[in-house]
Amino acid sequence: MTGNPKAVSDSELRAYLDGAADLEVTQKVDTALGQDQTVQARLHALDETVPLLKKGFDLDELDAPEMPTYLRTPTAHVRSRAMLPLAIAASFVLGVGVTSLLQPKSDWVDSVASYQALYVTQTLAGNAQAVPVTDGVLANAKAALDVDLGAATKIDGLLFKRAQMLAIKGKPLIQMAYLDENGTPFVFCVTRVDGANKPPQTSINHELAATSWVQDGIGYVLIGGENKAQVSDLAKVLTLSL
Amino acid sequence: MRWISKKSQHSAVEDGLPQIYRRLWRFCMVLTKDRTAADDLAQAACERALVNAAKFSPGTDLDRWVFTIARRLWLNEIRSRKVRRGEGLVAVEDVDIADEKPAIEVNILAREVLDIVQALPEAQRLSVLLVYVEGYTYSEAATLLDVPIGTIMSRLSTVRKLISTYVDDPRNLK
Repeated sequence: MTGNPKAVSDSELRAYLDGAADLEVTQKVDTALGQDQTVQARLHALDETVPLLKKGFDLDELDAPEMPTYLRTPTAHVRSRAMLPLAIAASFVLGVGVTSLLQPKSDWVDSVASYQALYVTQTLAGNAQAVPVTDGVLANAKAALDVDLGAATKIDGLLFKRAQMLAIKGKPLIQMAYLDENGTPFVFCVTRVDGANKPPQTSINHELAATSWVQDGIGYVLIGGENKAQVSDLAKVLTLSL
Repeated sequence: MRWISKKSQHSAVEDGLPQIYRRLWRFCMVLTKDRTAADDLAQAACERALVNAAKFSPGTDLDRWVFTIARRLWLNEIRSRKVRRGEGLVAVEDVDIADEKPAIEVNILAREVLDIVQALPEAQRLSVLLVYVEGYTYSEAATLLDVPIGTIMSRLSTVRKLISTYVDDPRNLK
């Protein structure tokens, strides 16, 4: 006895949730849900999946991060105009600068450099990647390229931040990212390449210093900053440790 | 007067973003299914919001405005390029988003429900997040996702049945 023929009863809501409601009741509930927020609240109160979903998506359970401090400063406005639309795309896809330019005969190092040029200190300012996650990425790298990159997580002069499995034209590409003591971003990228072995060579590429080499069908590049001597020295450390 | 209004708009955005950031990140995580990508997208959305703060109407819901920005960034500038991270390779963090937290800390059933949701198509994942977790009305979720309200109901009904099947007997999904 609700006095309102359009009112939805709890039994109707239960039938709706259980999938046992007939067409008339289903339409009645659907209509009510679209018009009356209290009906939605009642439905959710009866729905045993709601607390599970809330628990599963709990911010603490997900370890959701706080807003980075750099976004709280006025400079964030300036950086965004120039960098963000490109940086966000690159961060997901290794971007137009990498993937679409990486035809088989093109210089993959150049493409990686164009991607790295989008990095700023804040790109890597967060906490370092959890060790188990890094281990998982490096295990995938080992499986995909048959290279052990574990030593590359500990390079004197560079603070390791994260490893990611990316790709170039379907070929796996491992990217390991670092900050130096001045906050300059560096990345070490490894992928399968065609051609003969090449000794380490250092150049300026997209205004960044890069040292690259090829060994046994695997291409390596360390890139970051503008100091060719620094990158070359760090690359020597890498070649010795890998 | 106009200057005061703009200042108010910027203040509303600058002051509000830190308060909604973790929820924005969760929204981005549901979109991207990847923690690192969620970091990038959430930060991009914030920066876009800061640049366009003059377009925000103080007094309206900042979260919906920024969620919309994040979704458009995802749709227009990332997904539309049809060249996604890994080109089919799955980053390790894609496989299991909660690996960084010890499983023992997590309600196992809720965690498995989360896994079920994360395996759903994007449209269903977002509908679940907005309505069940964020508490949006069906109408609000429909507006944000640019779909009819009936579509939201249909998506949620499908998800509800799937989860209920599992809750009743977890072996059903194995």
